[in-house]
Amino acid sequence: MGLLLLAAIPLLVSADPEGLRFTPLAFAEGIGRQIVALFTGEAFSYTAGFRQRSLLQDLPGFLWTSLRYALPAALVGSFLGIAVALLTFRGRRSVKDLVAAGGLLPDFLLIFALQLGTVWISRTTGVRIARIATLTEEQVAVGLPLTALTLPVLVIAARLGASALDTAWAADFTRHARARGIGGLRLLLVHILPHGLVALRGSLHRLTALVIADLFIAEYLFNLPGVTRLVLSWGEVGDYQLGLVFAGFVALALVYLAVYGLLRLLLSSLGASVVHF
Amino acid sequence: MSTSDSPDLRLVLGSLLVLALLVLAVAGPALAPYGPDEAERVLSKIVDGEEVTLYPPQPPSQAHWFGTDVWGYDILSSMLRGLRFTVLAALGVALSRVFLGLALGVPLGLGRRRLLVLGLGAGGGMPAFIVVYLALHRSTINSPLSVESLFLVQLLVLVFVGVPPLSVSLAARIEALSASPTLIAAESLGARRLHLTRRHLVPLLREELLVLFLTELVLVLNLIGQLGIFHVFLGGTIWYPETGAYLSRTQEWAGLLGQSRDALLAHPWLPAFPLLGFLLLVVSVMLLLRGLEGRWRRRQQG
Repeated sequence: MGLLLLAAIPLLVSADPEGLRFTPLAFAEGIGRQIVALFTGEAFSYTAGFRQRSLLQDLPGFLWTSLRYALPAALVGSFLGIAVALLTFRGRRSVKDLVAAGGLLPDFLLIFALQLGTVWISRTTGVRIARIATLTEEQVAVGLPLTALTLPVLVIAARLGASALDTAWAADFTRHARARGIGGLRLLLVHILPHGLVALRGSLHRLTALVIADLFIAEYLFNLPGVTRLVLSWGEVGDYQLGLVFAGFVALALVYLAVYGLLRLLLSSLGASVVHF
Repeated sequence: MSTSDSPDLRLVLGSLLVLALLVLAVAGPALAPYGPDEAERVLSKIVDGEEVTLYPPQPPSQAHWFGTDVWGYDILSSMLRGLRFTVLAALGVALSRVFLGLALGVPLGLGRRRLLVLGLGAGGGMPAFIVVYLALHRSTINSPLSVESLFLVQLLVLVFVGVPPLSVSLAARIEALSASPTLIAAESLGARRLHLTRRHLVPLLREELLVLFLTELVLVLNLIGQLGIFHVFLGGTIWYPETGAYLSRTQEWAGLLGQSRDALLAHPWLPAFPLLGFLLLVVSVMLLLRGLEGRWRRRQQG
């Protein structure tokens, strides 16, 4: 219901030459019509250009594209983030400050910088290192979108992980283990890392939300035909397609669950393997 | 690493850059080398002894340091005219968010209304820019509203989406502070909520509020930039259905970036200069923020 309310927001406000008008009636009517359409089957079609298309046929393709980028980026970003956290915790504050600053830098600037850098390298050296956007079904951008989606996850996971590992290092159980002569890799993997992973598990929703937010920007800027493109495809012409946006949000919720599930699995597997070290 | 007495390099550099950008925002329109109606649509040039006619956009040159856009307008002049809108929006929204967040966070924190706090904190999984995009897209593209009216509406929406999470985080901090002996003593002596806020909470939170304001400033700039990418420009977007081109009505920096994003491959200087400008804006505030945090941390460590 929350997703339907969110999808219906554009019906709440309309602008005309006389000014901005709140239209709660249109908002309520739109929601009511959508609920009825779910039962009549009308909710499963949408308009693309001049054609009527089936959401049931098209949605799996959009969903697959989003999953193909979001899942590897979340997995690799988190894994590398934990590795960076292990290397930087207890380290110099300047390194941590740099990682923290990276987390604050807007992600769209990173994407633009990656695209501009690629164009610049291509123009100055003649070497094409990556495709800056998907042009056709055969000419698909892969490397840059994956990099752009992975880096923000890596930075946040590294920051959260390093902070959690710092706390675990100062805890009584670590000091006790060190006093008993346990050190090196065993102290790190058996005593410190599991506690860092538990803390990171508490921030999984935040990490997943970051992947979803970046997916909107990456799919738009790299021209990837994913779920978020479908959500935003109602565009400027014609009437607002509440059913299309709602279906897109439902598909996006599935992407969210898949990313969240995968990251949970990663942290559980890492936790289990280090305990048995 | 700087000592507690020596000035933090980030703080000095961040302060200088923010100050310079504020001056540019105020004096920008007067400093712009070309007027708002001056466009160089066709340019004649002698190349290898032959006269050739050049059409916009033109790459950076002595006459146009940042080049010209597809309509022949000088990009540097557009940026100097548009900066005040970006700065005004970011400052106004961040300040309003902190003020309203505090106004809402104090009764929540002191009253310990956990259920309300949970309600305000819900919905954190959906990116804020999607809510703003859905709320503003239809009224921003080819808007019948005036630039001023639309700008104000957009700022109100930007404030509205940021206040609930901020008030929740402030409420948690105020709840923790309310257990301090100073506040318990003041409360037992019959101090009212307004008095507690003015005399005790605000002085205790002064530095945190400043850091919070700067963090919000970065977040608001990020949000404005994301909206710009999706062609929701501050002050309004002019959309030409025949060509599919988008134009910012105010020439604010996120708008200049968003309107030129499709020119990345053919004319990279079109998005490059607004991108560098926006990056400078964000990095300046971030340097100031990190510098203040560093100074605060050192002071706490004695």
